[in-house]
Amino acid sequence: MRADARFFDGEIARDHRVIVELTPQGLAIEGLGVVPRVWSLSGLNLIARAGPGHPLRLGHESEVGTRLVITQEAFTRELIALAPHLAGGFNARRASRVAAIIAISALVTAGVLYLILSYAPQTLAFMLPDSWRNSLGDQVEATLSSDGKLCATSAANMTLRSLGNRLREGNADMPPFEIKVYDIKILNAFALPGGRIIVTQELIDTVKTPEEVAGVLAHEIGHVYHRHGEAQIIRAMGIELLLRMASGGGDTISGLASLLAILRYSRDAEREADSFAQSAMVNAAIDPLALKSFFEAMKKLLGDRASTGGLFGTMSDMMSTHPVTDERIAAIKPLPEGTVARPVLSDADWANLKKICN
Amino acid sequence: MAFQTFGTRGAEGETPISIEYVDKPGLGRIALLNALLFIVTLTIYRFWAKTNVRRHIWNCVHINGEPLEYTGRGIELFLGALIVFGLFFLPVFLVIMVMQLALGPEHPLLILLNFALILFFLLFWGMAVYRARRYQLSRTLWRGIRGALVGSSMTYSLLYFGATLLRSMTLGWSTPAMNLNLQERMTGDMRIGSMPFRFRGRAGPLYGPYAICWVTSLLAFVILTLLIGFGIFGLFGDTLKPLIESLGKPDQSGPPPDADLIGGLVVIAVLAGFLLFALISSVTWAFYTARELSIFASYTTLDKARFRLDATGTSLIWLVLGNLFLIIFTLGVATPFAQQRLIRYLCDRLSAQGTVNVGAIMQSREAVGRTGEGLADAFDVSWI
Repeated sequence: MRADARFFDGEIARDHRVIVELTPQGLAIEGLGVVPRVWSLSGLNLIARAGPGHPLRLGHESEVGTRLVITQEAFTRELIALAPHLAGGFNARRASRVAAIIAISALVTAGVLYLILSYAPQTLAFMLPDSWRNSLGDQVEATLSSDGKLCATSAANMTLRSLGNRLREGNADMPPFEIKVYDIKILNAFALPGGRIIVTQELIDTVKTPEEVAGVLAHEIGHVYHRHGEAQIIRAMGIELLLRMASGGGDTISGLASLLAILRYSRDAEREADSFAQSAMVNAAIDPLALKSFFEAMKKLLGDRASTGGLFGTMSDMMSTHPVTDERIAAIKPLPEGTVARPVLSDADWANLKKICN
Repeated sequence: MAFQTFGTRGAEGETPISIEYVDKPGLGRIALLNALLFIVTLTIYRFWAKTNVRRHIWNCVHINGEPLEYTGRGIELFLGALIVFGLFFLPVFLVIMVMQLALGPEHPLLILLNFALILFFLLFWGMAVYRARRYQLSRTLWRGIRGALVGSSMTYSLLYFGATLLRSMTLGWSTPAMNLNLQERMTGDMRIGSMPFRFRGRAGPLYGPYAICWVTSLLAFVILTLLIGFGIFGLFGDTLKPLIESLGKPDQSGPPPDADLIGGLVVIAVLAGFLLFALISSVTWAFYTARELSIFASYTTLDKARFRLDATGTSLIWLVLGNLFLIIFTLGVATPFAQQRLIRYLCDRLSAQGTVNVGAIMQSREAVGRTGEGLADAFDVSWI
């Protein structure tokens, strides 16, 4: 079958009238001023599909810029019958291939990102110089305590200092930390970068024994020991960087990522802090079951509210930043046999601690 | 059929030029698919989305019955963006993050760095614009012939930077002359294959419209300021007087009880005035932009054809407003249609008088870059 067509040779803008013919070798093209050629059917590229008022436009993989424009509908139909890929439109095979490529690369990317975000920040956190850790701690503390009154610090308050020192016993590579009590209207305790441990007045009001306070502190000291706060900030920055990378990064530079994201530690981090608390309390001869009873009280007090926290819940209570699970409670073991618990605070110190914000 | 009329005469050379937007179905499907994949891939699909839209719209632009063809590929844009991100943005972000970690977010050094970044953006903005244009031209085929942009993006970028500085130093009065300079360079560097566009003309005719718009904006500003000022004083003059007098003397009994209310009203009035001014000045400047577009088109020639663009302020305002609504009310899904409206506007109003020797247009010998628009994507400068 033969037909008239127009041909652009990719060298000059004027067109050439040609005659195209379907031969066993492919599509033969001949015309005045055109080097005769045969285009293989499989190498034909669809440039624009045929339609009412739109001729079929073809290119060929062997030549750049050459274009063949076929108007005759009968010939077009015949050609498409022999080379179905020239029909254009939805191509299920191509679409599923694209979908597969997208899915696989998304999975691989997600996997790599997960590995980077879960391991790298923890390693980097231990490499931060102390001055950086302190300046980070300053920033987070300022945001966190914006509306609260600072009641006491372990630097100035004997009771807090002795509590801290007691829990530090037998742990040589413990970084320095400072305990601060704030009068903030939430029931919680936080471990911030730079070894800052924030305890709220409401938490002190709630605990029943000095051993429970020691348990909470031991847990937060565990976060400090493992540099969870620093790791979390590095992680948040990494996420910000990745988001920027995906979106092109044209925006201006913003500050630290959301405070909550920084203060909410992963389940693994909580487990590490718990296990630190367990051994620190044993070393200090304080019964770890106090932490257990505190967790149980928390669960009873706040358990119902925990579900409302959601992914981006408020940090208004302990459950949203430190979700207490049965698994965590069960993991706490009593003092080993033969170890005799020593009292944590004298009655006078305990009374002073209770009214530390008054 | 339309595309055949040319073939018979074209061989002989001198041909008049016609530009036409011939719609074809399929853009709606592209828009929906793009929006979906844009979200699913966390915006990374945008390079392919852009390519799909361009391929469609390019194909609707018929010059002498022969459609344009867009040969760019999504992966080229993606790699271009990746290179720019790796070479520039990644190091900058890392430095800023480390500095934030080390110094805290409000350290003077960081402010200095941010300032340097703004300067850097300004310096490279022109380069982004120029390179994006170069990429698009090199991926545009007409009758199998590539477009090209043959100049240096560095030169253009410096000129652009200079124009930006000069504009602020001359309160805007350098704008027509500098826009003309920029356009002259850009258009003069453009080619269809081997055939150059030429741009020649003076900035003089631009200054009449510019002066009218400039003075109108200034007047609008002054009048609005006076109106708001007098309005506030007329309504609350009696209450404000003691309030203002008490400002210098802190030991007095304090502001009158309704000071908060008045303060709120003043803020609202100033805000409303500002919005009104923004509206008036945008409308005013649309008329200048229309004049500039038309004059620039009339300065442009290709072979023996001179271009003409019938842009008017009113039609430009409708175009922009319509596109704004189109994009906002569909949450961006209809962006391809907004881009189509823009191209259709240009095609409908662009014409050429005189002839072009089509037989003299040879294939471009310019090298074709392998990646594209990295800077332009990062700076978000290209409008299509």
